[in-house]
Amino acid sequence: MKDRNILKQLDDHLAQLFIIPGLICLIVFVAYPAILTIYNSMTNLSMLTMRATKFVGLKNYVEIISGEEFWISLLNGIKYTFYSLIGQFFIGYVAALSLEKIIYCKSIFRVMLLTPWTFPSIALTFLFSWMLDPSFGIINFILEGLNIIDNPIPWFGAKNTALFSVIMMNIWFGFPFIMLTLLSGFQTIPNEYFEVAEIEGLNFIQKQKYVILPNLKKVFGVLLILRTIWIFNNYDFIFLTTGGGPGISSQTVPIYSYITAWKRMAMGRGSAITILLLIFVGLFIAIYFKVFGMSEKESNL
Amino acid sequence: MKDHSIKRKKIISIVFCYSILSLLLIIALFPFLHMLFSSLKPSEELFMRPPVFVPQIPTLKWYERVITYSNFFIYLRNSIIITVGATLFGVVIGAMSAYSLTSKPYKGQSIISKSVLIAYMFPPIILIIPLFQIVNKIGLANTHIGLILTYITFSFPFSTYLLISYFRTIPKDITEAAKIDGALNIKIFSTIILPLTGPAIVSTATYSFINSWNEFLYAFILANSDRTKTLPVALYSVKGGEMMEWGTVLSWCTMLTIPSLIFFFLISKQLVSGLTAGAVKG
Repeated sequence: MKDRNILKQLDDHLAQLFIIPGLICLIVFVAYPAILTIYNSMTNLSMLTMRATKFVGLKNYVEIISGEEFWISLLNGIKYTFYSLIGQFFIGYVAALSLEKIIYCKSIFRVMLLTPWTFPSIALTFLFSWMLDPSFGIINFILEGLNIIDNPIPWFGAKNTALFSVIMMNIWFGFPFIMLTLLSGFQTIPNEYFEVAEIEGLNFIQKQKYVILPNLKKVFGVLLILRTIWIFNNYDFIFLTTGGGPGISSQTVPIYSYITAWKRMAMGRGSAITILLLIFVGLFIAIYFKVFGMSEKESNL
Repeated sequence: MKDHSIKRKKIISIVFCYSILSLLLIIALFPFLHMLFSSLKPSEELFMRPPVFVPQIPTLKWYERVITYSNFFIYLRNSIIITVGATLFGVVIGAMSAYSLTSKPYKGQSIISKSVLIAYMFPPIILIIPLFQIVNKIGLANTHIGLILTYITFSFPFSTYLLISYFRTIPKDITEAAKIDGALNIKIFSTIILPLTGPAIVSTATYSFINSWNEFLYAFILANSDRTKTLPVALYSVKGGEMMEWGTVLSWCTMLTIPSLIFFFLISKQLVSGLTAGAVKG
C-alpha cells in the first residue's frame, strides 16, 4: 500500500522528473562549456600545452577590438548573412508562390526542388569547388560559352569573387527550406481570404500586401531570425571552400575564431572572439523573444 | 468578353509559374546530376575540355576505389554508431523534455524552455574549445561515446524544439479525460501521447539523424583518429591529401548525399509542419 503511494506521488510529479535528463544536458553541455569559455577568454590558454598560465583579464578583448581583423571579419559575416538571406528569401518566396498556383505535378516539383537542402556541407562544398574549378569547372565553360566572361575565373580563389561565390552557393543550398516553410504557411491562410481578394479584384502586389504578408508575419519572423542566426554562425561552408581566404577576404567571425584558436594556437583569444560572436547572436535571440510574444502565459518556446 | 480576358490572364499566369518552377528545377538539379554523372566518368572524360555532361563510357571505378579504400568501412561504421547514438539520446531526452515542457506549468518551466531555445541557437563554434577540454579531461577524446555526447549539444535542443510543437497539437481533452478516469501520467504518456505523436517522433529522429550524419565541425576537431573518424572527416582528409583525385572525391560525395536525400524526401511534408507549427499557431 505504501509502495503504491510513493509510485503515485512520483507519477504526480512526472513532468518535473522527465525534465531531469534534459536539464543535465543543458547544464553539462551548454551552460558549463559557455562559462568555461568566458573563463578561457580571460586567460592565455594555448593549444600546445592546453594549459593557461596566466589570467589576463580583458586583455584579449581589448586587443581583438583594437585590431582590424575582427572588424573585417564581422563586416564579411554581415555581408555573407545579409546577401544570402535576401537571395534565399527571394527565390524561396517566388518558388512558394508559384507552387501554390499550380495543380499538376505540384508534389513532384515540391520534392525535387528540395534537393539542394539535402546536401551534407562537405559534399556541397566539394561539389561547388569542382564546378567552379578554374581549369575544369563546368560553370566557367558555361559562362564562357554564353559570353558572360572572357576567361575562366578562379571563383573561390580570387579576392573579389571568394565571398560572392560562397554566398551564391549558400543561396542555392538554402532557398528550398524557405520555400517549403512558406508553402506550409500559405496553407494556414483561410481560403475565403483569397476568394475575397479575387472578388475585390486585387492585383498581384496588393494580394501580397493585404492577404499573404499580414497572415504570415509570424512565419516570416521566426524563419528570418532562425536563418540569420544559422548563417551568421555558419562555419563549414566558408572553411571548406575558401578557408576564409585569399588573405582574409572571405573570413567571417567563426572562421576568425577557429584560425586564432587552432591555427595560431591562441585558444584564450579564440575564446574571446567566440564570446564577442555570442553577443551578436544574443542580440538576435533577444529580438526573437521580444517579438514573438514570450509572455508568461504562452511561453513554452 | 470580360470572362474571356480573365481566363486568359489566368492561363498566362499559370504558364508563367510553370516556367519559373522549371527554371528553378534545372538550377536545383543540375549540380546534383553533375556530381552523379562526374562520379561515373573515367579520368579522360572527367578532365575533358570542353566538358561533357553525360558520361560517354560510364564506369564504377571510382566507387570501387572508395570502397576498397583502406578504412572506408571503418569510417562508415563510425558514422553509423555515432549518428544512431546521438539520435537516440537526443530524441529520447527530447521527447521526455517536450512532454515536461508542454504539461501543466511548474516552477522553472518557462526558464527551462527558454534555455532549450537558446541552446538550439547557440553557435557551435563557441562550444568546440570547452567541449574539447571536457572530453579530453574525462578521457573520452577520440572515442565514439565522446563524440556522441558532444552531438547531444545540438540533437537534444533541436529534437525538443520540434517535438514541443507536435506535442502541443494533442487536444487537452483526451489527456484530461484519461486523467479523470484515474490513469497515471506515465500511462497517459506511453499509451496516448507517444502513439499520437509517433509519426512526428519518427520524422524528428530522421532529421536529427541527417544532421548528425552530415555534421563536420565537431567530428573534425574531436574525433580525428582513424578509430573514430566519420565519413565526412575522412573525405576531408582524402581531398586534403597529396593526390587530389576528383573522381574519388565526387563518388564519395555522392554516396554521402544519397542517404540524406532519400530521408529528406520521405519526411519533407511532416517536417515542415513541425518547424512552423509553433510560428503558425502562436
